[in-house]
Amino acid sequence: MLVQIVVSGLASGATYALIALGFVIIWNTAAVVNFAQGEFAVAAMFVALVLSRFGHVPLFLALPASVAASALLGWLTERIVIRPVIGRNAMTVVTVTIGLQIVLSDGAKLIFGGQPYPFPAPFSGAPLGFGGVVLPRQSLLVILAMALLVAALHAMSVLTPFGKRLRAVAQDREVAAMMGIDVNRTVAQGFAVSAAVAGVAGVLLAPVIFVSADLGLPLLIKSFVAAIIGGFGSYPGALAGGLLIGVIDNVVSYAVSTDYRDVISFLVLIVMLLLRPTGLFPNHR
Amino acid sequence: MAATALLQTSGLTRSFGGLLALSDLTITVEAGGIQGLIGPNGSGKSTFINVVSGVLRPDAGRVTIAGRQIAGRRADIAARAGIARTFQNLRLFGGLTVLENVLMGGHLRLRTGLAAALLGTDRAREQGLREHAEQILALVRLTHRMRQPAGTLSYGEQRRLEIARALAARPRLLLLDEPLAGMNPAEMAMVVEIMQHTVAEGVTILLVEHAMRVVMAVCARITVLNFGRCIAAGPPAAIRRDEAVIRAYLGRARHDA
Repeated sequence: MLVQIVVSGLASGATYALIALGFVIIWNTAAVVNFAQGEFAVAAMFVALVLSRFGHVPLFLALPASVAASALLGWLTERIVIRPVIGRNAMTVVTVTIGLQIVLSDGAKLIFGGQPYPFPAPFSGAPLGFGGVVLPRQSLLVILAMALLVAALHAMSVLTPFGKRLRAVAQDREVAAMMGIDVNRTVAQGFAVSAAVAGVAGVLLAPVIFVSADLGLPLLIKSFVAAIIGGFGSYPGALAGGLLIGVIDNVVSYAVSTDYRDVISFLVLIVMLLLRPTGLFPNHR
Repeated sequence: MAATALLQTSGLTRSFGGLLALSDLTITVEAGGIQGLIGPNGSGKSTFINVVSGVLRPDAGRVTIAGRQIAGRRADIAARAGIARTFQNLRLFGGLTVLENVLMGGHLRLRTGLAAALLGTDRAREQGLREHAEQILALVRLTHRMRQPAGTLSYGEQRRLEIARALAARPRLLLLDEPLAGMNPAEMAMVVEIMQHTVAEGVTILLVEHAMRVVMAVCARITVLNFGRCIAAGPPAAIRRDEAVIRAYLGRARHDA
């Protein structure tokens, strides 16, 4: 039974991990703590919902389209909201992203109301059994998709000129500019990639939970905690932190009570900050 | 003197609070060879390099490279106009490998579109950049360190890597900000050799340096700054005899020369 709980915790943890990963991409390239990161995931959920439920677009088209839409939202966020305040006082930038979070979340509420919408699962069918452990297909898909996406992001970062450009900007904006890199443009592209990753997390999560306008903030908080536990700015850290939070959530919900899972998440965060403030993977960027 | 000015600044002024770092500075760098830029600490040499390379905006004045006005524009625009530089305090991408650092220097010769980058449609040009990067690494004698993270190199090696990264951009004008600082004589000789090879390839170098013997030996022309103004300009022999220079600078430096 414990294995069961851990595995389904890994599945929800994988989505936290992806959102945390996007969060860290933005932090590393632009030094911006983006509190609207959860909304990127929610935006993708709603685009997929509208396309598939109301537009009758098949899921295999609706899902990529919704990820593209959240990438566009990320890119626009940098152009319209972040660029005018970049380089200002850190609190100003943070306040702006909090403002954006509220605008996006309340905007979704205006359009869709506060009620939850069911979302169709891409793969239906009986859960798969592995030696006594029963796994819903969607959980497997989530874990598999996370692993693939992480491998793809890593390859992009190491192998492609775009990835190297992102890393160069992350390490030293000024020198990167002197290499002829258009820093603004690279940062905007970083936002797009980051939002796309959050979008993937959103559409993977959508069939498991009900889609609703107020999901962004709790998702953000989970991923924020995950990123800090992992070591802020660390990619493997964001992954490990996300998975850990997912598992802790699930174990606590089962063993104690659902009411206490956020309490325990934050307790872990506090203990972590006290004992190992640099996180699990402080030096892996 | 109207022959071939590669870099021309006029009326360049920049202050930090009450300190006037550059004051109505007019400097000409002609194409070809090594030109020296010297002056006591705080005379405005680094500010000058920062303004020319687009890191700092001037309060007033113009910077033209090969006829293009670039003052106050972004650093990537200065880079595209043909300016590359090194830093007084090393600024390598420590987490990237030695080869990646040099490739990053050649970056502006790649197309930067996201689609092209992700799809890898720029392979041929990338291959060309890579070959060029390997030639440069051979020139600065870092071929054997190619796959190591730049942060693991020794100080002298990191300095040479900065020069290599700047050269990868195929600049017209290379700004070297104290490339010899903290080096032993053998390492200095290696850097001088790199500079001479670079000049032979048609690149112009503006050299900011405190090692007077080297400056006097390699520069065809020297400009001297003090308190953000140009107090003298000319060939080394004339600079050595210049009263204002001796008073401002060489008078003290001569003891350890």
